[in-house]
Amino acid sequence: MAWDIAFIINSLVLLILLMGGEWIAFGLGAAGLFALLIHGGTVGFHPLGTVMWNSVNNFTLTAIPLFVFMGEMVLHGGISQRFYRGMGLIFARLPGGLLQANIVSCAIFAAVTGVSVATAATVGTVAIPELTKRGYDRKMIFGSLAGGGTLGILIPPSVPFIIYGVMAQESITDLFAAGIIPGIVLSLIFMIYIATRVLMKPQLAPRTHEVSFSLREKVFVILHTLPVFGLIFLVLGGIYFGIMTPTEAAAVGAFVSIIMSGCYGKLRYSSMKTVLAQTVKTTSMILLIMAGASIFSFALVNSGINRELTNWVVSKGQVQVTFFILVCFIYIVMGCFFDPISMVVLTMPILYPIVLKFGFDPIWYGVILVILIELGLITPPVGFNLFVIHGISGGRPMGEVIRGSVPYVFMMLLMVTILYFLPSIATWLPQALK
Amino acid sequence: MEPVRRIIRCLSNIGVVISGIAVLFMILLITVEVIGRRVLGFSTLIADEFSGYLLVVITFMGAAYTLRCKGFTRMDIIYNQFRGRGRQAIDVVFNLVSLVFLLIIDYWLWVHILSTYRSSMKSISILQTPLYLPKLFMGLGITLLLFEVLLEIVTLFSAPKANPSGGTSS
Repeated sequence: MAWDIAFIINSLVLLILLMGGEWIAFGLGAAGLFALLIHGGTVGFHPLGTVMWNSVNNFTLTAIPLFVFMGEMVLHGGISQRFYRGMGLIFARLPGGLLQANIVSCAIFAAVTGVSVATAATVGTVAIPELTKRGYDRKMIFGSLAGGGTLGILIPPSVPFIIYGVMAQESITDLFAAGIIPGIVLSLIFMIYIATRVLMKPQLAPRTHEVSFSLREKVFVILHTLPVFGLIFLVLGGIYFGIMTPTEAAAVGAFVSIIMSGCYGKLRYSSMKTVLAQTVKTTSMILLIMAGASIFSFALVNSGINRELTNWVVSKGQVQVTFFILVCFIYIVMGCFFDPISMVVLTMPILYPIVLKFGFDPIWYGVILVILIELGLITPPVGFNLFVIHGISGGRPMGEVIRGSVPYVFMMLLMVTILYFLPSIATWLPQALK
Repeated sequence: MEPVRRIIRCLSNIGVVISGIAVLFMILLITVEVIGRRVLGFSTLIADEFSGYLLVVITFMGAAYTLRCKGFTRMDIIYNQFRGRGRQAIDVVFNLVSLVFLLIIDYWLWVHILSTYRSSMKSISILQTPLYLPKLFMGLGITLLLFEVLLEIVTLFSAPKANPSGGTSS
């Protein structure tokens, strides 16, 4: 069968399975089996055991459950509440007050969790009741949390960076470093937006309900932010001082988060059970999607489709920028329907070889990819962060959450544009740290 | 049917307990490795290899429980438009697709595990782990997952007939 017809048929099968509502992990695997079957019959099934084994048995990927565990422990171990109070106090004087604290807290929590949803949930659970009580505009609250939450996968550690790194065979350490400056720049863009809106319309963040603290109380509250900064220093410092690999840093971070939770008196059997169950569920979900994707990818490579497709796209003589805009468009559309992990594993086998052929820097592309999939977290109808914030919004309409998040979509697109014209924002730090 | 359901649920629960223990063991093992190497000047020499096996255990032994808790992701924009019989039909079709997929995967996994066992394949590390042992968890996990999907299908077929106007009749 000609590669183009095979490609169209395989894409249709995958689309029907996924659009119809098949679990993404099984849909990817089933489409892969179908592709193998039409290419060479059941002979293609023989290496399935090896393909599955190799897709999961990987030391680098072990960082995923460890970072997820650390994030869950921070959420359930009483660490996040105390931290947010301290951040609120530090940023109260900026225009936007606690809305700024939301962005900074999300950016900092992003450095202890590898998942955006966990970041949005961690900060949102504490922030929403507090800001609502003080009369902040609800759309601004929800937007700052949904948008700020997306920083979770851009600022290291980041699960999508680990998956991208493993699939593209790029250094996770370099990818983590590449995400830091764009993460900070994006946080600053969010903060400038909030400040501008509040300066133009002060009632969005009223200062009438400010709580006053004595100096002693202030010092005490701010001191409670130190354990989180300590955890970040341990994990990122461990990686960039060359003491630990990302996986080792994740394990040590997870271990320390248990001790911290114990110090706060929150280390109970029930919370540990919840943290472990959540870690197992998230890990199993992510890794089985990867296993399904590896079958699909194996089928594409086996049938030569991705090689032919790459050659075809490049032979069309498209310029880099056209291809780049096309990639952005694909991810924006996909982001409306797919979760971040599925987007990475679904597109990597097809798009990545073309990206390399066009001469894009793989580390830079990793950062672009992560920002584009972040967009998907706040674009309806399937924006995970929108659901999380809606779930903890106290029964407010979903429309309010969506309207609040729309400006953040445009800010992220602005960040992608900035990165296109100034790629060194992403590529400078990994080089400098070498 | 009820005893079978209970047995499958019990096996899924055992699977998630094993996975949870594997998470804790992984944290401990790698932390000991880091402290040992950086502070005490020794290495376990097994942390890298063993962590990979533990990841296999977490992923596959926790899969059935994840499915039961609806922990996998799906694109539900079209799926959510359906109610009653339509939803039931979609559930049956896609559960059958999952079943066929898992049956094929499970068969080839067990073939692979058996061939690893027969050829006495061992890891090239100091441990020389017989590789069929960690791979066994892969087969067991997918078999458990298969049972969960089967249970889902049986439940769908034995559920009361859906009300055409939407929702299921009780």
